[in-house]
Amino acid sequence: MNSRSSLYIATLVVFAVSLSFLPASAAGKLEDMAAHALNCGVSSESVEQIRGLSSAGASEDAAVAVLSPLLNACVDQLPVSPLEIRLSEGVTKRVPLPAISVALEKQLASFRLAREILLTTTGSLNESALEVVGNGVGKGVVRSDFEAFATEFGKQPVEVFLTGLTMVSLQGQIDYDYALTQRILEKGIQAETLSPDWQYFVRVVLAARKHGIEDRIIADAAVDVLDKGEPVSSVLPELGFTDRDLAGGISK
Amino acid sequence: MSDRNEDRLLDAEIIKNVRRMPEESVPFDFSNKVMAGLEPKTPSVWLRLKLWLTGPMSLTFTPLQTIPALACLIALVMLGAMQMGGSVLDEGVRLTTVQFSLSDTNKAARTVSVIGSFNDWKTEQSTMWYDDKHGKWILEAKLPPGDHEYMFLVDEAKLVSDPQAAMTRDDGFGNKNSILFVNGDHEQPI
Amino acid sequence: MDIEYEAEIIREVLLGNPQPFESLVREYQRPVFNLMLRTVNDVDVAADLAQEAFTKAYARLETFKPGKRFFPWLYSLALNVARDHLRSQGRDFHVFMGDPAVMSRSEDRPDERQFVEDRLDSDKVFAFVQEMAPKYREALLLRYKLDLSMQEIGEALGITVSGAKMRISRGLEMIRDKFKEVSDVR
Repeated sequence: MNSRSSLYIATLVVFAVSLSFLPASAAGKLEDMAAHALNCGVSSESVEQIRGLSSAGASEDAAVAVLSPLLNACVDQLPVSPLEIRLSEGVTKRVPLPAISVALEKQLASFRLAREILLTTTGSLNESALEVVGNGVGKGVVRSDFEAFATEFGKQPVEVFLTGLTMVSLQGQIDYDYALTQRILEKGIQAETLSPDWQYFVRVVLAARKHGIEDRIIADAAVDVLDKGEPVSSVLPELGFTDRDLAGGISK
Repeated sequence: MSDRNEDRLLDAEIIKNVRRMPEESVPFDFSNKVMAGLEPKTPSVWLRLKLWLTGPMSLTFTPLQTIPALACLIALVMLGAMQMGGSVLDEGVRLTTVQFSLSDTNKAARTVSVIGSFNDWKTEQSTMWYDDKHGKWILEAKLPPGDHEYMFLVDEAKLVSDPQAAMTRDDGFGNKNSILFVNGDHEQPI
Repeated sequence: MDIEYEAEIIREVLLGNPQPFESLVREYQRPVFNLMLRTVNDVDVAADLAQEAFTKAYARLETFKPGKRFFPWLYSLALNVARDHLRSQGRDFHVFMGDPAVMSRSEDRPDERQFVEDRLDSDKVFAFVQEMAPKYREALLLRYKLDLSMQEIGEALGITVSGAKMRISRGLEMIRDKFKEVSDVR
């Protein structure tokens, strides 16, 4: 091939490639994406919700930017429903679409990270675990906490693993030192007394902290209770609280 | 005979004996003593209503006679609370009844709803109703297990966090969501 | 007792009529009383503790979630009463203080003839079970004497299902070992 025809072909290629960067008519693009999303398994409710926003005056690009993370989550086989709930939250709270889009992208990135963490530590992917870790990293829990937990306890039965994982996530969200959480989990798992009730132990930490009790003392009490095989409701009494102290603010 | 076979036979014997382990009879008037110490319960209006709504219809108890003042509000409650969850075991998921309440002694608000992750943040089925006696807005709902985020929507315009919530979480949009923990299996007071 | 029937009783009680509660007491008084007897080995104290357990259950009836059997919930409450009692006495629930002799009253045995042949063995088993640490003993009794499911045992003891399975298999292993030690089998 002589240099003139190769230059000609190169120009054609560049031209063709640059064509693909021209924005397609946005309405067409939204409809296209919507069809793909529905096909994949994004709920029709969410798709309708986004279509509704668009016809109510939101810019097409903004609508596309909100649908895109949902579609990507679906295609990547990551949890979609948490993103759908987040979308509804943003819409109800009348948050501007670009902000919703950013939040959804961030949530999607959290799930990707969660998947990586679980696969590289436990080697498997449990849907519930993925959601717990995804929500956790999205809310600021450091990945090393989850990695340490999954590495140490990855072989535990599912129920125990999920209980522990939830504790790591929730307690991490209130900056409860992982070393303390780890101590509690180690005792509960060794004594086989870490029942699912313990997953919301964070409530105990919050209540005890309100009364000025140090995190380390809370952990000591929890370890003691787990050692004796008593339920999580024994921790606050162990720290000296009576029923009267606990009244107020605890929803069922 | 192999060790394991022998163990299994032993186990069978042991289990048989555990099954037949004798139990002492209770002292003859035990149940009378227990009953003698019990006072009749006085259920709150809400509990009566809930029990009436969730119970079989073969009861002799008829709430319309005993709580006439609330008769007109039964419909509203049914819309708000009942449709949120169905029966106690909804397709294998255990639903727990919770009560949301927002104090408003002067009834400053016109309408209040609960919006949260459990109802897709929609306002349609979660309108609260005003309890004159206690000066607060109330809604009972049945929720599946989980850590649920929610807020109160006042007058369809203002977002209010629950001052009684144990934990809050940034919603990423500039608000603080309240969190409600629902443990599936049993009542879990901390 | 049928779960639905229990739920009916509980509703009636919650609505203000205590009488039906007696059916629940009569249904479950024996296992609860025996739990207390194993714990304190004194008939009068055991009766008081058992009464306390039922009284507490009545007081907390609002917190019982319908749709499940009443017994595991009741038993878990009773275990707490037993534990609290021992703690108030300065004793540890994990250290058993029972006397095997109390458990074997001949008038309670259903079939005297059948027992004659293996009387020695049965006595030994009863004694071993009696001497065991409560955490294993209760698991075995709940499973084989009271026929609770693993889930219910977990609920009653406040442990996981796999924890319950472990306790039962370890409990059996412990008795097996003691039996081998004591008798001539291997």
